[in-house]
Amino acid sequence: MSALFPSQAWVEALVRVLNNDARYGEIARNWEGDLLFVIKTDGGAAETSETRPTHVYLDLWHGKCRSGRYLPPGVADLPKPAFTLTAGFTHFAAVLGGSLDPMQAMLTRRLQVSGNMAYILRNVPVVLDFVRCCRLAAGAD
Amino acid sequence: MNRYLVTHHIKRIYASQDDLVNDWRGLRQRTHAEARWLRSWYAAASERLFCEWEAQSPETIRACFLPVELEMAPIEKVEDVVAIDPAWLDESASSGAAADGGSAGPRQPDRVA
Repeated sequence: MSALFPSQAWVEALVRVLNNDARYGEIARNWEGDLLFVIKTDGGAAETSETRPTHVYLDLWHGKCRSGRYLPPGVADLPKPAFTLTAGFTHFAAVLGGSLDPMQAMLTRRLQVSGNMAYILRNVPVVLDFVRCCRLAAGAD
Repeated sequence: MNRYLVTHHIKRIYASQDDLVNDWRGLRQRTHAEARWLRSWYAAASERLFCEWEAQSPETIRACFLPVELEMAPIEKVEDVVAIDPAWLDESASSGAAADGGSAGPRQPDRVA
């Protein structure tokens, strides 16, 4: 069953995938770092209640996802994670749809990274497998 | 112009995305007609970066780097390489089949009388 990105249903599906996928569990066994997606509306419109970004928070730890939350626009208390990935919806959708390579997106700043980039580059296989799991949650694969 | 495969050992990586991208962009701008950076492959497990260049010589490649870049990602080796595209094997197989009368199956060995 596919879940729409971004939504609470997608986050729940992703948490299930991450916690049940043996391959991800193995590849990400040493990963330590929670993650916040900041999903902006496309087009660079001025921020209003309709155009405020949506957030997805994932607490990733040693091959498991300890918790995940969908945070609709306007949520005041955002987590302060180890990594924040910021992009417009189109770029997130392109990564999840497989038409944009996640590492290429980071190295061209289409996906803005706040957090230790060196840690991400030393863990490229984890990033790629995490994206594979995101695609599974979205029903793209 | 020759093709070269340059192997870097990634000893240190910028912690910020902006610093990393700006540095790579700077390198890109320092390349020129006699040393063109074509593509790179990063092997996280071995901390190696394999870069394909088209250049006059290894020296013209080395001259594109800043000292700090060579300190962070020293060049381990520069090898003169030739590209081999496995798609050529498909082309030669199909042209071989055409020469063989278009038979799709494997060619039988010639019988020796």
